[in-house]
Amino acid sequence: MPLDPSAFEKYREFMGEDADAFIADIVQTFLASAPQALEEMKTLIAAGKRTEFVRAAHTLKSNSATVGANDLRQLCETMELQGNTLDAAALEAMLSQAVREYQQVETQLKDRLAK
Amino acid sequence: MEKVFQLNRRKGHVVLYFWLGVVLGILPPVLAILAELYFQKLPFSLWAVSYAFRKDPILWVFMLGPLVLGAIGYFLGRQQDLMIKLAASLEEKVTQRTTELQESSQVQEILNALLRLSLGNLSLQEMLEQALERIVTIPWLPTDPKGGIFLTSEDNPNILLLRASHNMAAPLLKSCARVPFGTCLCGRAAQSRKILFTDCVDEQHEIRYEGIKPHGHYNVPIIHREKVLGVLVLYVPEGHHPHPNEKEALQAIAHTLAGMITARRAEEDLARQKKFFETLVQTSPAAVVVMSNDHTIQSCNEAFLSLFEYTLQECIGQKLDDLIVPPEAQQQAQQYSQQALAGNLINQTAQRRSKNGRLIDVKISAVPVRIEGEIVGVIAIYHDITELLKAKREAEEAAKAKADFLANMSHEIRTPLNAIIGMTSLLLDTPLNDEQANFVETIRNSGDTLLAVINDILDFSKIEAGKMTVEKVPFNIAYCIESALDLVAAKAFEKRLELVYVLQENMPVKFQGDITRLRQVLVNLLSNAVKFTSEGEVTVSVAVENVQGTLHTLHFQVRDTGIGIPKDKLHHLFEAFSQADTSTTRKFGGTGLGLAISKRLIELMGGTIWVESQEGKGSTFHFTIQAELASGTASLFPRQAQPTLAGRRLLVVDDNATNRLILQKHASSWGMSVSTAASGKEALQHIEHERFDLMILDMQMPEMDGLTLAQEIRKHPAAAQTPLIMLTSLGRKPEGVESVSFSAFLSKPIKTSQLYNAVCEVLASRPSAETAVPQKPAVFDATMGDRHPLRILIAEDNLINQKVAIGLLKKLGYRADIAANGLEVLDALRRQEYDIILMDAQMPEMDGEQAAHIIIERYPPGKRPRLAAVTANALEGDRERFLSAGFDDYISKPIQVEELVRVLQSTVPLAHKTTRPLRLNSGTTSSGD
Repeated sequence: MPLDPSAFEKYREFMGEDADAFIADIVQTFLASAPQALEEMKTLIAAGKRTEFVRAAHTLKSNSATVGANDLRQLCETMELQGNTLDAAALEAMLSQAVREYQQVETQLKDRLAK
Repeated sequence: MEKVFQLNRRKGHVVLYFWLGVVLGILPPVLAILAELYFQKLPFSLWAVSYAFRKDPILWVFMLGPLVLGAIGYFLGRQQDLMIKLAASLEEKVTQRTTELQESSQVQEILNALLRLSLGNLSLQEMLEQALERIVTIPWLPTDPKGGIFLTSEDNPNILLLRASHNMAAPLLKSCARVPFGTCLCGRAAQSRKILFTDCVDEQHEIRYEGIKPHGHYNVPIIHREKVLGVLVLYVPEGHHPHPNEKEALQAIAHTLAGMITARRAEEDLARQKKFFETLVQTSPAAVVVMSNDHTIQSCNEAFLSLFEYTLQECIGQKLDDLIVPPEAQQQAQQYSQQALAGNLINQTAQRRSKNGRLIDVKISAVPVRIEGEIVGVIAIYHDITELLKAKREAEEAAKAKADFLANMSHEIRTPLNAIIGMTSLLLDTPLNDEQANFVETIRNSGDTLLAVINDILDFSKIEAGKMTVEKVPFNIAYCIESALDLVAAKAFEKRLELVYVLQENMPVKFQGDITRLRQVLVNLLSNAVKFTSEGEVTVSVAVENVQGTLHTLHFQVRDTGIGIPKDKLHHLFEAFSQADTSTTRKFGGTGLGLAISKRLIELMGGTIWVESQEGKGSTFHFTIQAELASGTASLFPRQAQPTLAGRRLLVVDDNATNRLILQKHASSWGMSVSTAASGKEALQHIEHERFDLMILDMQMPEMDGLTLAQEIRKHPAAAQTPLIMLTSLGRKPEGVESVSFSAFLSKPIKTSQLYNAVCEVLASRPSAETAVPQKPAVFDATMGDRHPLRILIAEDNLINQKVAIGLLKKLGYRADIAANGLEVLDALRRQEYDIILMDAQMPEMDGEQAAHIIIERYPPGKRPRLAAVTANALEGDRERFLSAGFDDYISKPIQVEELVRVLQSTVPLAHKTTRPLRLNSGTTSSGD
């Protein structure tokens, strides 16, 4: 399951009437930034900039966790932890998995927003 | 004769042919006159003749005959002469050309002969001699040719040695035997690298002898690839005119010689090397065999034949493995052969069999032989190690017998010794005067020492004899460590050493193993640590290093701050009867068996022991053991934080950093929020602007001890009722402790279980500091910002996290400022005061830890905002890392509302603390009782 629906539950409860706007804002920001982040990570692997890559993976991990994209978060965490040691091919493979995962997350998040 | 004839022919024709013409020319006028006279019937008289001339003037024409024919004869003669001359010159050219061709073909023949020589099996010397014999047949040399060949010396390339000679005068053979470069003709030719020609014995001809005959020389340097190999010397007659062809021919001969010499030398080198290696292999005491790709023996040496008792004929062409491998080792031997043929090096010990069936222990080394990258076979070397192994077995048996004896003896000694110790102890309980008591005390102490030594020896010999076994029964590892610590605690206290121990968070504690032996090792390491440390601390820690199913590898560390161990002594440390040095023994005592025993015990428990040490700084002994999890094992403390402890705020005050860290680690793992202070003063600063549910105070601290601090704390209204736990050494309660109401006393070393029980007990009956705040909202709402106003800075580079934090804070009624990295945080702090910073750990430019470090340095506790680390790393130990880096609190991402509220609530606004210091604390003091 790409998306954990309970991720926002606590916020929703807490934010009350502001919840929808708050969550929509967060989700939209995520949808706007994640593709860029994935693209950037790809470039960073190719350029061999591992420190930057790890940072980017960390950020995407954090954001995926926020929106409840647990599988994506898991992938990003692996990339963050092993970004300095794995070879480029392995990272690229992992990244393309993350891209596929993101596409599912994106669809679900957009469905969620439309509701 | 021929020449004379030629001369006649050459010069005679013109005159001869002229006179012949003239004579012939007389005939026509005479005949004409006679005919005229006849036909005219005239008398043969002068008158008649003159009449005829007058009558027939044509006769005058006939009179021109001699002139005309003479002229014709002259021209014919000249023509003839020219023809003859031409023919002669042609003949001469043909002869000359023929000679040249003959000479050149002879030179060619010589060259061919030389090449044939080079193909033969001659030695270099023989080859040179025979070559010279051929060279002196050069046709334009004198009929008794002389010459020689010099080669450069192999020791000194600038010396020419006469290697072959032909007809050279006897005195020369000696004086020319060795000619340096630049000397005499050949030396000069070698130096100049050019053919040197002389047509007489001139001043360059330095080497002479009495009776030297006039002659000239060709000196031809023999050069191969720019390197002068020698000089070919040939004699020519005095005044010889050199023809260019001659030089050419000599150059060709020298070239050929050079090639021959080089090739022959290379061959000889190879042959010499081959001989050398053959000798080496043949005379080697190791058995050497060469096996080809099809596993058959190609060659072998004497040692091989004698080791395996075969003759050479029996070996060659046979399969190596068939010959010397016993049936049971066939499969393995085949593997070795195949591996070697696949290009691997083989180094193995195995058993091989001789022809007569004798089994031989051998060390086999095999290397593939590659020629031009292709493996063509294997060289295998066999070392007979039968004797070696036998000696080793004997030695081992002897050692075992010795150990058996020792084990028995030790046991025999121990029994009466126990009786002595027991009786002296009884004796001490009887009425004795001081002197007697002193004597008995000495007897008993000596008995104890002796017993310890004997125990060591007994253990050691038991291990050596292979009689030591370790049992596998369930035990609690925390208890094991704690009981080991108990045994050295008294000594440590005497020396005022801190004893601390750290059990990895959440690790299982019940294992199958031998608690007695494990404790023995720990006690040994701990008592060493205490023994060799005069100040500082001794720490023991344990962590799970590896898990395979239920089998755990446990990693223990015993660290001290003692004298350390010199580098060169480190590797002897675990050997029996060795202490770092004998002076150590004198100063510190001991049998030197402790570590050796520990090492063996650890090995029996499936682990290893090693040490890291820095002289003057201290040592850390590491060891691992393998242990099965005992069934029904749970962690000593539940993974989930206990509800009573979670979120409770603890202040730890201890001057010892390790102790602080350990207490913090434990309490954090139980979900408590921990602050630390290194002195009483710092602790008092903390309670100025923070409230705590519990404080743990160390008794022994410089400047302000625990008791004084407790009294100060009690004077502080906010903390007057906060429960206090006192840490003491060995549970000795300090004087005057009754003046302050301590909730509990804990003795060092801190034992996790005791600490946990004490903290739980103290806090169970109390509501938390936060829950006691009367204004605490039932639900979090926008009023919190009004009730508990705070100036908040969010340090976060990630837009989404910023939005989440701002959104949540807004809902709580707070407005927060944003900084995108550590540098911006510092800038923001310069502009205004903040009560709390929610700081992301990973930011570009300057990360959270760096920023926290600078803030702590710049701002004193009272002026400093609270620092809460916010991190998405859910790594174990992160929390501790941030707390020990100086952060006051820790929130994990994604931020949970409860956590955020907890952090905000436990923050006291900086500006408020002077004006309204008690506002938030008033509830605690009253509700605590």
